[in-house]
Amino acid sequence: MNSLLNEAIDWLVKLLTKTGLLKKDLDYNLLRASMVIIFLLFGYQKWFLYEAKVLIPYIGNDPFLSWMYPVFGIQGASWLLGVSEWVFGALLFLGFWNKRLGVLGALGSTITFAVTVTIIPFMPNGWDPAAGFPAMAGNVPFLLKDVVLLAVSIYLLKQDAMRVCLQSGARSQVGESVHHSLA
Amino acid sequence: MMAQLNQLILQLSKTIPFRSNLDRHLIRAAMVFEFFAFSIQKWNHYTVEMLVPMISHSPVVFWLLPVFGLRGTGDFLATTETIFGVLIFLGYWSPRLGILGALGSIVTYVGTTTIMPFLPGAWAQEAGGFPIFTLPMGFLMKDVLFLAASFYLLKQDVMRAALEINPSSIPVVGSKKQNVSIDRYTRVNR
Repeated sequence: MNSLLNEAIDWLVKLLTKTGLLKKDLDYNLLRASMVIIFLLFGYQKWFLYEAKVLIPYIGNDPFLSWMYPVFGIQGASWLLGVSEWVFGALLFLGFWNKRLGVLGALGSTITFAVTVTIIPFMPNGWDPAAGFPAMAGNVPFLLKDVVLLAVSIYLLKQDAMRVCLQSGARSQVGESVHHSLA
Repeated sequence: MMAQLNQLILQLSKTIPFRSNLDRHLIRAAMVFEFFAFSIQKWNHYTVEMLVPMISHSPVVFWLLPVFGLRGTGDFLATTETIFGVLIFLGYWSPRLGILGALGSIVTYVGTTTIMPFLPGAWAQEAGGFPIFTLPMGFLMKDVLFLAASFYLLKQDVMRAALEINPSSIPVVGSKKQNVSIDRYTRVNR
């Protein structure tokens, strides 16, 4: 049984190796494309009053974001987030060709999702009333997914920073460290 | 401006997180975390009820409800998610198990992303409908990225497994550009 499974995996690995899956940047490009789509769609929502109202429990309860309401108002805060998300999304998109802009987009993206993850502990009615803490309810499952969005942002940040270093001939300055982490 | 940006990038690249494999481990760890968190949710009757509109409209798992009932469907999905999470976690050490986990993860997120066109109440009618989406739709949209991340894990683990089977099976890196594009993670760690 065990050897049969191993044979099957071996066969699969060889097959996938032949398809060129490993040679190209397909995974890197897919992750970037997905992030661009997410920023485009979620940024777009924030132009509308409907979404501005949906955001009230998210922004109003977070210590890092709640200052936005007294300063910008409910619609203003939503607009500001919409603009920043479109800017980060556009930078990530341009990162397909220009890795420097990609670094900026990934930095913005990392900050965005680091902040949204901090909302989780402050979200009211976030846990299943019957089962309690680890069982999520309400808006928490939606926010919990940002953990992966954060990890992917950090991945893009590192990838793009490394690619800039190699492109710009900065190898001599950075020296072995970059070489090592890419190699 | 450009000089400052270059400087920033150089500084970033020198920090320890950037010299390690932190990014790879983070994506794996985040995926494992999600599988566990969402499977805990499904062991629970109350939260499975919230998922009924999604499950019943998924082209991949709609049949679960008539076959297993509500309780059974929750248990079934929770079990598969726990298994995939464990396999992806074990992928830290065994790329072969990681491949199985990544394949399961791809099936899972193909199952969830394909719900989107069929989800009732996906567009906020009170705000004029399409393209303003409601919370469940936004929740599913994030799975597009999860699908890409599953594919990323599959690639990582296939590469590591291929090196285990035959160290010369990975094309040796040629041009400078390709140098970066290929994650030669395993070559360092071997």
